[in-house]
Amino acid sequence: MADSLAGAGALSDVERAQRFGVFVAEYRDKALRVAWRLLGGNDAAAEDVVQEALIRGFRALTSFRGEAALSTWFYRILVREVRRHQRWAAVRARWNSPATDEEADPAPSGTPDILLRERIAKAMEKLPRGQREVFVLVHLETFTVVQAAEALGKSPGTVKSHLHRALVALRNELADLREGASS
Amino acid sequence: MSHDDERSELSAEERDFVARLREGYKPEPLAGARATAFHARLEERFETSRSSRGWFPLGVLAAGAAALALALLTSSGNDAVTTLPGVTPPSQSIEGQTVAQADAPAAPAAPTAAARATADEDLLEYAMLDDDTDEEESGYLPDDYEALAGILDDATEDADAES
Repeated sequence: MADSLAGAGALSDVERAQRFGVFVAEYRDKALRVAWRLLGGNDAAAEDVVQEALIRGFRALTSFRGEAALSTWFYRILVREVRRHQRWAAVRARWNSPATDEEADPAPSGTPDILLRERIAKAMEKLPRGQREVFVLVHLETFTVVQAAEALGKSPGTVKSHLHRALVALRNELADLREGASS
Repeated sequence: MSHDDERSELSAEERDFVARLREGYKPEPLAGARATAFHARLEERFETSRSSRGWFPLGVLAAGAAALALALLTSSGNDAVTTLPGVTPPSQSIEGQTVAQADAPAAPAAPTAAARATADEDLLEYAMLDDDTDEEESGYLPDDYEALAGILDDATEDADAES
């Protein structure tokens, strides 16, 4: 990545591209997973959002002042990009016919893994946005409550409250998984 | 970013349930042709952002949209006044052009260091905004989309509050 970016331009641009490559390597996979989970399992949307967040995050590095951990700061940018995407998607969904709604599930169905993934995605979609975000960050991505609060711009108390409600809702929605897990 | 706090308060059964969701709800790893396409697109976007260091989404796009809106208003205003007596199209047109020029973005190819610093400050502000100031980012949207997005946000917040 860095090598391919370093093909043209002045030295500062080469260095910049190399640093960007390092930045991407550090954050890409986890960012894609977080975005994918927040966006209901939509690969294309997750990739688009992560690209935008990586570019914004890298540019913002010059202004990073260290008030928060860099990773927390980056995930805050990522979450904002996810929300922005969702707002656009919601507006488009209102104005377009369902056939052109890009949030339609793009995944093929058939195998048990994919069916399970689709079921969980649908259950997650039913959660209010705040609950979904904290559940993904804390329970699925192993952020601490404080880290999630910083990334989401919420208080730790709000995060805990959302977390509890999300878990209750998902346990009800996916009760068979709960029973299966305990058996 | 891994530290157990809230998760340690879960019962064993809840931990198993969460673990099952974690395993069952994850994307396929980015590999092969998808990874190649991802990085090609990312490189393209990176190059675009680098060549317009005034940070195009935040500054140039907003200013460009404002200038375009003014230009359209001016244009439609001129059409209208041709059928409306008592209005003075020349002064409107000149005024509109003046405002449009004042709000028009500087050429993005040669931003000053000060402009770059301002753009970076904008980014910092963008990243640190909390939910209460979410509306500020809606400046990305055209006015009509923005109004609709606001309604949707209110509905989402209501649903959050009820849950």
